[in-house]
Amino acid sequence: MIYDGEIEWVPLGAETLAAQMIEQKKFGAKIFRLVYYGGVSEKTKRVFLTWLIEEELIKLYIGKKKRKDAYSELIYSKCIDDFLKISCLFRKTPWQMPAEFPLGRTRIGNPIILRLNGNFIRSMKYDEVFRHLFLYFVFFLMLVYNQSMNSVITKKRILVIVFLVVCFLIINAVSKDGLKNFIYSKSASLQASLWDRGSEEAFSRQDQEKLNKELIEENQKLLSDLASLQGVREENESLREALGLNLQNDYDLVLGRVISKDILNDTILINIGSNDGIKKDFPVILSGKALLGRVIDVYPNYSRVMLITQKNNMIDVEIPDSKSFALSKGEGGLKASLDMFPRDIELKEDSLIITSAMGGNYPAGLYVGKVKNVKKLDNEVYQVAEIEKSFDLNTVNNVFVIKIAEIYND
Amino acid sequence: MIKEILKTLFLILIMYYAFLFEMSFLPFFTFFSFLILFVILVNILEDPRGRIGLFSAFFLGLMMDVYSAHYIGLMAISFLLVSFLLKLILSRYVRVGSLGWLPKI
Repeated sequence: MIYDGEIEWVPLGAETLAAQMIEQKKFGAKIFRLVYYGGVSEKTKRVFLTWLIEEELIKLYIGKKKRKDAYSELIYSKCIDDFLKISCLFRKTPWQMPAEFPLGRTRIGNPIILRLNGNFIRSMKYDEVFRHLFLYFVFFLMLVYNQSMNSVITKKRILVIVFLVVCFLIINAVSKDGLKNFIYSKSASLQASLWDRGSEEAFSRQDQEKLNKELIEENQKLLSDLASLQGVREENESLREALGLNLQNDYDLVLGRVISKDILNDTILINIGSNDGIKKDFPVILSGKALLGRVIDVYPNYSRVMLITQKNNMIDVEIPDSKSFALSKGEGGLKASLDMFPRDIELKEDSLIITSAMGGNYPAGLYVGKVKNVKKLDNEVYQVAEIEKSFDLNTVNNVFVIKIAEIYND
Repeated sequence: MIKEILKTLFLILIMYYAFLFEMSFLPFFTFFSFLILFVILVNILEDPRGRIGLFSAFFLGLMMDVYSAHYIGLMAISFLLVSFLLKLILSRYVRVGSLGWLPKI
């Protein structure tokens, strides 16, 4: 099968991929090959493919199976190594059933590489469960080989463990969130005062003179930026008026307060929950539109927020200076890096990083951080860099949760 | 019996407040978990037949479950099993010494 074009789909937003396809058609390409990489969730694929079908941009070969199952068949039947090489032929009309679904990554012409939506973080909870199950397995192996060690592992103790496991299973099934909410409510006031005290202590320990100097320098730079942007702003406003757009009502925000930070993960607990209208996946920002993360667990009066630095948390970002897109990748330990930035575009130090709307997970234009330590390795297709994040946990007390109507992520 | 229960409750209470302190105050200064270090040390140093290590490991795991996005009990059971494994290994192959001053539960 000969292709007119190829699209590599690294977890991404459907709209932009479709836009790229349309773009390709301008150049006469009619048949595309779609390559999925690992880490794309089933839901993302389905949303994307359903959207493409609804827009009549493609017609999928679905065989004898129902449409929903067909996606799975296409996606998982050709899993090779650590990423999926899936061939999925499509063109607008007329549709002809392809003779085969070839494997591999045959490149004809220049492939379009899209690097869009992140958030293909694998389910942290399930990963944890499997890791722990492995531990249980090791434990029982030890039991088998150490039957003589009656003084340490007695029958009574084994029964206690089994009883505890059963109890926990019941608690998780019946009212996990309710129980957590109850315990949080009992300790919230103490935690809030501890957090305040810690914040004050940490702030007082900083080198005030140095901090002042840095702030003055940054302020001067911002003032000069502001002056240069004034003209652009006026132009923008006049254009907006001419087009009849009203972008003033940016977000519907809910104010929350940080209570604690998880010991092992980059997650924090805030004191607003489902009773305040918070839902899972709502973005969380600081004043000044600095992105903090997104809500991953919601309890009646509390919510857990996954910071952008949580390991493997990926966010679709834009670097306005380079007019290019990339991924912000959480590294854990309150660190994040910039990934999948095109090699052929110059990436400047201190460039601003903002969220992109392509992924559909976060509103566009939220401040993520600045580019630091750009690395261009010979054997890598993309450039990588560190991200100087937009927030300092020492000064984070109040946060804003953005109530958005629709979320497309997984 | 009552003494044992009181001692256990005392241990839970101390660990609970230490945990809250570690979660809400210490992140501003360090990410090192002193409670985990405490539990490891107790498990290594106490008599392998003792129960303080088991209790402390279980309660630390339980608090981690409650104050994180985990399922309740996941870390608690895992920490308990790790404690058991440590005790098994120590009682069979290693003898570091015991902490005579630790109250027995």
